[in-house]
Amino acid sequence: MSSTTFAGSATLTGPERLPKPGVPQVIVLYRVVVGFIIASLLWKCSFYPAVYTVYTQFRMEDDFFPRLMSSTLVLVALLLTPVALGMIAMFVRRKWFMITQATVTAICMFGMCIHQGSYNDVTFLTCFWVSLWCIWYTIKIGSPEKELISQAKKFAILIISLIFFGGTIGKLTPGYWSGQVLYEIYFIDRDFWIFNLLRANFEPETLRDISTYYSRMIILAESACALLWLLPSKIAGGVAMTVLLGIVVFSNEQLLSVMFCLVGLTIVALHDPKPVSVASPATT
Amino acid sequence: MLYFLKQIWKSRDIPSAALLLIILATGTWMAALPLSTSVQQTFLRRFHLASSNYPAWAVQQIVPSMYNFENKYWFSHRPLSQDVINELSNEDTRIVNATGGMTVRRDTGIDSEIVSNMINHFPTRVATFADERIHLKDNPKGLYYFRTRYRGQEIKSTFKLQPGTTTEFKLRRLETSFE
Repeated sequence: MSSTTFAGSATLTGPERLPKPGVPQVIVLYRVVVGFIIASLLWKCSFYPAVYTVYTQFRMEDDFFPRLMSSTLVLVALLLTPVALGMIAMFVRRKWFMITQATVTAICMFGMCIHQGSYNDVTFLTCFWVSLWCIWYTIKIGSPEKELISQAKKFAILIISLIFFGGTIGKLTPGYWSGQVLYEIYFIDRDFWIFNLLRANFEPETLRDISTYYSRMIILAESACALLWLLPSKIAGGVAMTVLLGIVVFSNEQLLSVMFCLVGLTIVALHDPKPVSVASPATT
Repeated sequence: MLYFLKQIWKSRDIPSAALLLIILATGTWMAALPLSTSVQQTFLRRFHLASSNYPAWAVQQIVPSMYNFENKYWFSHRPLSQDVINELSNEDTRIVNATGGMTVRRDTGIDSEIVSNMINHFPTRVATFADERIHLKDNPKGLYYFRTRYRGQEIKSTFKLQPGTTTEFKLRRLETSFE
């Protein structure tokens, strides 16, 4: 990655200045992951104004959630703070800022996971795990580049494996193995190209059979991906990218909000570390 | 990967060890799911917002769980007996509600409409999440019946929905039980 990529970025002064050799690709990787977290959070942004209206017009009083974690304003703050900090992170190289940005993002994503209005959306769960990776990564920035990137790839694959493990372990139940759950969720009436195509071409009985194979294929694919950590990072990254995109293409485009941040980690796993470059005159 | 673990151990790399510990602890907890009845019940309680308290539920929210378990709900303006719920779960005579995307079964035995659907995760979202909560303006009173199954375990919860003020609704848990 050319060091001139960062022309225009904020420069460091004093003892906090990071060593020039190796900084660009390390920071580019961080910014790629942060960019994909922002993409995850904004993928369904056209939906947000309606959500805001519903939550302010139809408040739900529920003994289970503390009042703070039912507040619409808190929800908005938890969502927008990481987006704003992530955008600033695209232009700032100070280590303390990157650590702060990653930590605040993880806290906000955890907040979304436990808020009455968003606890059910897995987008915030995957973003939380990717933010944990970001905290670790930003703390480690400044350590030897080769070692850092090597560890970053392994942790990226471990987290992706964990997310898939969570998916597959909860499907090891008769309703998924028989296909009945996905038949009712997707095959009966979901308006998505693959299900529309299948409904147009097959009788309900055949659709039910197809749903069984579809469901079992998903269980097997997720189970395989839960073991990605056993593979070399590059192969694991390739498999993960294929499965993540496959899930979106064959299930539901709304799942991109869940997948985007994981795609960011997959890019880390696929990254070929460049040799450490000597700072050129063009470097900021 | 083993070399990676040894490397972290030898170098006393605290940030890496901390991240690894979180990942391993979460993975171990999930691996116990198919094996332990009490772990299964803990997971199922989480999906019905029925953990012993809010902090205990909140801690579990970092455990990955997309498209987990068999989650189903029924919404009715009248109380439903278990026999009616069982009958409805075995039938497949549903009509898509054109306005809301909910799947609706017009009941043949009792004179009210029952809304029912399969949910990917957290069945309670039909009461709390925006895309379903908007229907409260049409159905401000009623009963939610939630059922989640995983292997041999089954949890059932009943919630009562009541209008409070013009912009506020009250959701009250009537019961949660395992079968």
